[in-house]
Amino acid sequence: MPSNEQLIEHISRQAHENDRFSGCSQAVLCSLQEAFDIGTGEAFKAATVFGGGVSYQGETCGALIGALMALGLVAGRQRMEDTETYRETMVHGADVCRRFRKELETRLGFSESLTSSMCRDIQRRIYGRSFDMTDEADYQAFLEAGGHGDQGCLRVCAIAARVAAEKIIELTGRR
Amino acid sequence: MSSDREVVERAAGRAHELMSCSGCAQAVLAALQEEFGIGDTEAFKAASALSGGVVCQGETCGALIGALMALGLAVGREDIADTPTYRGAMQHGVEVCRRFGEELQKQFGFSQTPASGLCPEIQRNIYGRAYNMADEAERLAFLAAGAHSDSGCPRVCAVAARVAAEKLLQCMKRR
Repeated sequence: MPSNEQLIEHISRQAHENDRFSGCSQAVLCSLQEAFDIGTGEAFKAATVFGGGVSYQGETCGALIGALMALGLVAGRQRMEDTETYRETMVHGADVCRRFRKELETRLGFSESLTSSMCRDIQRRIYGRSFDMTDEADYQAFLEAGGHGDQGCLRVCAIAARVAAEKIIELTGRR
Repeated sequence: MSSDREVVERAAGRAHELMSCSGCAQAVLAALQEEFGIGDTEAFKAASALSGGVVCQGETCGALIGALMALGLAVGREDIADTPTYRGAMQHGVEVCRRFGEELQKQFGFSQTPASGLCPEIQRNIYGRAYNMADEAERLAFLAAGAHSDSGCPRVCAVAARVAAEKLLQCMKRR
């Protein structure tokens, strides 16, 4: 059995590779589902349209949404009435968001703190500008700037998957 | 058999009702899952940590996220390598985001369409200001402003469920 560190590295690499197909949420979620054997094909399908900051809106980073969906699979509520579990999951989720921003700053060498997890803010830091992904010409410009290159959003997926994997290991007590 | 209008109204009403348990993303998703018989409990669990603008971060509206998860369940990709299905679903997602803004304006009587699907933007339109939901005092002020009342966020959930239900009906007819 791989160590926790090896497992986290594997998940992170897998999320990076998965994003070559496009769809950062599913890229991250898939890597976590496979490694921890969590959720179903239905949970994976539900993550389809969050790429590009929620259906190309430039809003919340899809990679982060995929990470939070994996957290939901591990610690989430199964019934609407279970408010206690909901609140606990939200606390873990806030922690994942905070760590995600911190890891992005550290690993991608951002000079200033990230104040949001928005796709357009992360794009500005990585590529020097943001892109309107609903516009075909701008989407092409995103790809030309390295959007799907090894130094682009693939790395963001790797970081989101890493942060979620660490949280899941903490919650499940895997050794 | 129910008419399309009855299906849409029932999904909207149920999302509104479920919001009494907190968690806008799950309230909307559960209403659509019940109405259309889509997904499973794992998909529902995956939505646990996305409410309040993604774990109370003030980003993308959780009700919209729940609506988009239901869209993923209906038309999403099952295999990360299935890029054509991904791209097709994303186009539907873009439309749901646009329709969500338009329908919010119509149902709440806003003078214009909200500039984004972000939770603070929607809050400003409804309550006259945005609240930092990660702060306990602010969260209480948010509740005091009527956030969980019939004219607050439960109505936003109803709008998100309505827009998604209309889209799901449209997608099903194309099959």
